[in-house]
Amino acid sequence: MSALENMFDSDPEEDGRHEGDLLEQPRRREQPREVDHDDEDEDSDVAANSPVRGEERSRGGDVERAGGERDDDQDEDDDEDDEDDEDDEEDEEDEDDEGDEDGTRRRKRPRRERRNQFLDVEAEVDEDEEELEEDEDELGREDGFIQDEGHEGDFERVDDRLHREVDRQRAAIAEADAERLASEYREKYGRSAASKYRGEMNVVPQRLLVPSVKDPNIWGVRCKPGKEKAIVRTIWRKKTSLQYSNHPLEVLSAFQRDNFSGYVYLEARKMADVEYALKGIVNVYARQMILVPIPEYTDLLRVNKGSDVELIPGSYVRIKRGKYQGDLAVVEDLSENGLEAQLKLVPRLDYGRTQEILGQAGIDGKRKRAAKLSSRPAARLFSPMEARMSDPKNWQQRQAKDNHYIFQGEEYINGYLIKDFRISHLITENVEPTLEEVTKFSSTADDEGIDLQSLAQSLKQASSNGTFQPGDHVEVHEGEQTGVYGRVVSIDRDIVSIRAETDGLKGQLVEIPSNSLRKKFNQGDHVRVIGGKYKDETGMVVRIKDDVVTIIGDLSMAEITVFSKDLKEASDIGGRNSLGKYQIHDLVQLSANNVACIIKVERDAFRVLDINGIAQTILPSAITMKVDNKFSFATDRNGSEIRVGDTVKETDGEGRQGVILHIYRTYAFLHDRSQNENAGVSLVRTRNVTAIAAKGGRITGSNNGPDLAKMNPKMQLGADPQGMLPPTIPRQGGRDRTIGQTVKVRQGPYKGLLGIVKDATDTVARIELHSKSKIISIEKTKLGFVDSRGDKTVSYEEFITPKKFLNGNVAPMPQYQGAATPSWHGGQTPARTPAWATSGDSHGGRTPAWAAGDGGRTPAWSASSRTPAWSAGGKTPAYGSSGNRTPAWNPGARTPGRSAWDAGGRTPREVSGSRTPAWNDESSARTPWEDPSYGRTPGDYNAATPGAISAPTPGVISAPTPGRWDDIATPAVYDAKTPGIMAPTPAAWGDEPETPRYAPASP
Amino acid sequence: MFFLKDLSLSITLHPSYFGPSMHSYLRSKLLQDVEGTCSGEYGYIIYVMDGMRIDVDKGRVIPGSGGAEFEVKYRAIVWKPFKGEVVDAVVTSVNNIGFFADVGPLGVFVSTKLIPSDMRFDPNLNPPAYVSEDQTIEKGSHVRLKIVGTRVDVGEMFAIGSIKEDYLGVL
Repeated sequence: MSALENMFDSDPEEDGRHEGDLLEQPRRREQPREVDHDDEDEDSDVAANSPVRGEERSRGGDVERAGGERDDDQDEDDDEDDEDDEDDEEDEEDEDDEGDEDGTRRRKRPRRERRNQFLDVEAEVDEDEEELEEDEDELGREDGFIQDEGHEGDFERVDDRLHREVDRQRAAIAEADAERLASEYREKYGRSAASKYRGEMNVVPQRLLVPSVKDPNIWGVRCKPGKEKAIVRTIWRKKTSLQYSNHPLEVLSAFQRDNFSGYVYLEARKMADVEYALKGIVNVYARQMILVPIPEYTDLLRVNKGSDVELIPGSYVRIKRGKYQGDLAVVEDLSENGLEAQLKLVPRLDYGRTQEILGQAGIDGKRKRAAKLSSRPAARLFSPMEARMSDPKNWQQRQAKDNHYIFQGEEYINGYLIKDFRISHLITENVEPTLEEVTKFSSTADDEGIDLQSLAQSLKQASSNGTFQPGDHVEVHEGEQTGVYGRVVSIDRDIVSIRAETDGLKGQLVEIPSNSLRKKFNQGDHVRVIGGKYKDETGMVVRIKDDVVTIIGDLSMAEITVFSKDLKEASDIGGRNSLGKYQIHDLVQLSANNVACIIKVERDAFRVLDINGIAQTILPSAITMKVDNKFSFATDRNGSEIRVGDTVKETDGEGRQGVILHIYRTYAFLHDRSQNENAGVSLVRTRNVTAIAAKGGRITGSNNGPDLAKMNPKMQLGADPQGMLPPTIPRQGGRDRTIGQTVKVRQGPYKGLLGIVKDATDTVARIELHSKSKIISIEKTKLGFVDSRGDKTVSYEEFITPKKFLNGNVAPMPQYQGAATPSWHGGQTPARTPAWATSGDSHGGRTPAWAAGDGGRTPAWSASSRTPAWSAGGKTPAYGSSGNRTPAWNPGARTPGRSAWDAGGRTPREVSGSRTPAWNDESSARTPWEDPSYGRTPGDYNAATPGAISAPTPGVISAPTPGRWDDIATPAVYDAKTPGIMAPTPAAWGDEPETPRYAPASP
Repeated sequence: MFFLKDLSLSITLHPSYFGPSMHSYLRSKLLQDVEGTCSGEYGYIIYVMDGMRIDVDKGRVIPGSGGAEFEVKYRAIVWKPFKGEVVDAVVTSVNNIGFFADVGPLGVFVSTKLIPSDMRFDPNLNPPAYVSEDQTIEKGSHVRLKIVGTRVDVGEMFAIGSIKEDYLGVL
């Protein structure tokens, strides 16, 4: 039967009916005859003695029915005999009835009963006792004791015994009726809690039910896969249509199994019957027929074959298809045949909204269905109000207090949909309910409501293996060893060996089935989530309740509640922090004028905070590129420089504080772990923040000592332990030394003309020409200063450089003083002074020392190689690169510049000969020196040759000088920085375009 | 917990620093490098003791570079937070999932799960606070808490605390 049910997807009751019909067919065939006889009989009887006979008839109907059955059993009886017997008995019974029934009832009943005689063709009550009685009667009749004609005369013969007999029979009938009713009701409405299916209750040994050789055989016949059901239906139709023909199908059943596609099975006595049944049916290959071995019958017909998961009320399942596809459901009850389950699930109702929309659009039914599937409503609890509003006709309340409703033919209790599903439509394995889903089924918001027992059961089924690893801390939570905890030593399938750490068993190896173990964590443990939605998050355990552990995520700082089986102890800090090539806290370009900082990485999307302050979730494809701005900087409210990595505080607004992740235009992204919102990332304007601490103590660096792994800055500046000045001389103030000097123009249209410097700035001198009465402005470097002796001109650099350094002659001192001032002073002093002031008092006295221009300087100067001197000049970029004050003088900052000199500049120069001649000789020595260091091509240099010396000069001295000057004089630190970045590469420094860039900055 | 710990640090010195003030360079370098730092092993180095009696060994010239390496031995006060330790802290921020507090250099987070259940978060207060009948935890409050777990990041430590026990909570 089960197979048939399977085949037609129908109720067992229905099948029962079919079967009943089949069985009844022969009986019906016989009945007309009987009824005919009765009719004849009746006709005459009714005419004869209507009231009494009527009652007789009524009884006769019952008996007739019983007789009908008996006829089946006995096959062919003699019709007349039969009839007589019945009449005989009827009479006897009627007499009993007469005694206690009134006239009205008698009058009513005959008609109905008579009608029944025609229509009611099957016996409702199978009364063996009665039959027996009848048999006895018959026996008696056969013997001739009871005479046919004794109909009327029986009244006298009736005795007490018969009365009692009939009474007893009627009582039995009534009782049977009651029982039948009860069983009917039970069948119909019997799914109450009291009658829940609790597995096999009857104790008939299974082996006794196994078919034997005496039972019909089952043949499996190959057919076209997918056509099995159609074929079975065809066979069914064939069977019914040929039923009354000469060649009925001798097939007892036909069925197919979903597990064995490409086969239909027929139950029959003979193979020929099967072949006959399949004759003419398409898609079935009757030649490929196999006889199913008897021991395999049970396997063939087993329901839920292969699923080891035994469903019990309370277990979790998922629905395979339909509107609720993939949804979690709880088994409420199971049907007795084990094919269906009553499930509780969260309904997906839209309360007629889609219908409405579609109805308006006038879309036909097909499209409607498609639309319904494409956008299924969200799962949420049943709302009686909404339901009533949408479809009041199909809404009814069953039990007010129980929150029990029927809506559109489906049942809702406490907001959940209660519906029957076929078990074959359910996923029972690997259900793995997530905590979110499960919480939906707990009526209370707190997790106390979760039936952890059944949940754990479901989960264990899914993942009993592979969740433990050697070294895991585990705890036994059920069985004899409850409470024992220890570390996993080894795992053999489902048996886990643990080294117990509990007092009594300390050090012992205990073997425990894995499903009675759970991972043990302690508060404060650092763990990683290894499964589920929060996979890869790490955090610290804050609460443990049985299997459920709450952790605080390291990165998100949010609480995460997971099952302990999904956790693993972790030593690293992680979390899903990258997806594709983007990572958490990256700055990414969203559109031409919008960038955003990634604040959270989800499974396949990013959560970002853009520069409009809006947090949004975007797909990786929405990101144009990553913005790399590690070196970007800005100025804060106080004008101090802020960079990525600095800690700043918002001065107004929310007063947020954090570390700068990114600076973009005027915005800065801050990160503060203690902020909850946007994973701690916030957007501020750089103008609204003040620096608190710079990364690596850059701003607060005044208390940082020098970097001891690098060159001592003191040495670099002059190597004078007493505080020798660097060659970049502090400005002394006072007159520009060039003023009043007789000069010769060495370049440009006025080349060769003599004049007197009337006025001068740092770089430009105004010259009154001797020849023409005209004052021209010309760069100082284009001038040749006429020697005090008047026989030779020297370049501007030489002129302002103290002569004594060059040749030890102090005599030209005044000249030197006058000349050098504009350059050295103008450039250096403002820059240097604060620098020295901040770098420590030991250097404080230096300026006067230099200013004094004492004789001791000369050896010092020459002793310390000139290179540092030059490098000091060239150092300006380095100086600028590291800020404007102390850091500038930090050797660390200087190094690149220096090494550049080391690499290129110095060596050729030293090779070229002694320094002094090189210095003195205007063209020969300098050329090789300048070339490599400044990255200038000889060609470039040569182009500038007329003043071989003056050409490089702007690059070397005058150019950096204003730069330095600029650092201090104007608050725009900005300008100073640019050369700073370029400082390490001499080539960049030597780049011609740089020069004009500095020039305008000069005062 | 605070400890007095003998530690050492090796410092590399550029030859340009060799000379009479070499030791003072090393000392200041030491202070600058270690004070206020944090390591997983020892926790926070709070203070280097006996600044004048830091033991600097002879140093070794590093072949190839001309620099020298000095092993500087010093004694420092270190503070390492332990699981189960009860400390006093100042609340720095309060939100619906708990509050953050500072124990000196250490940041501690106290989750709502670890706050007594009678204390409720009230976001409407200014500043937001956890309040019970007789106690209020808001920004700036002084609390006594028990450290339930610590985590060591690079150059930083972090801890989870609890005030859900007797004698813990607002001071």
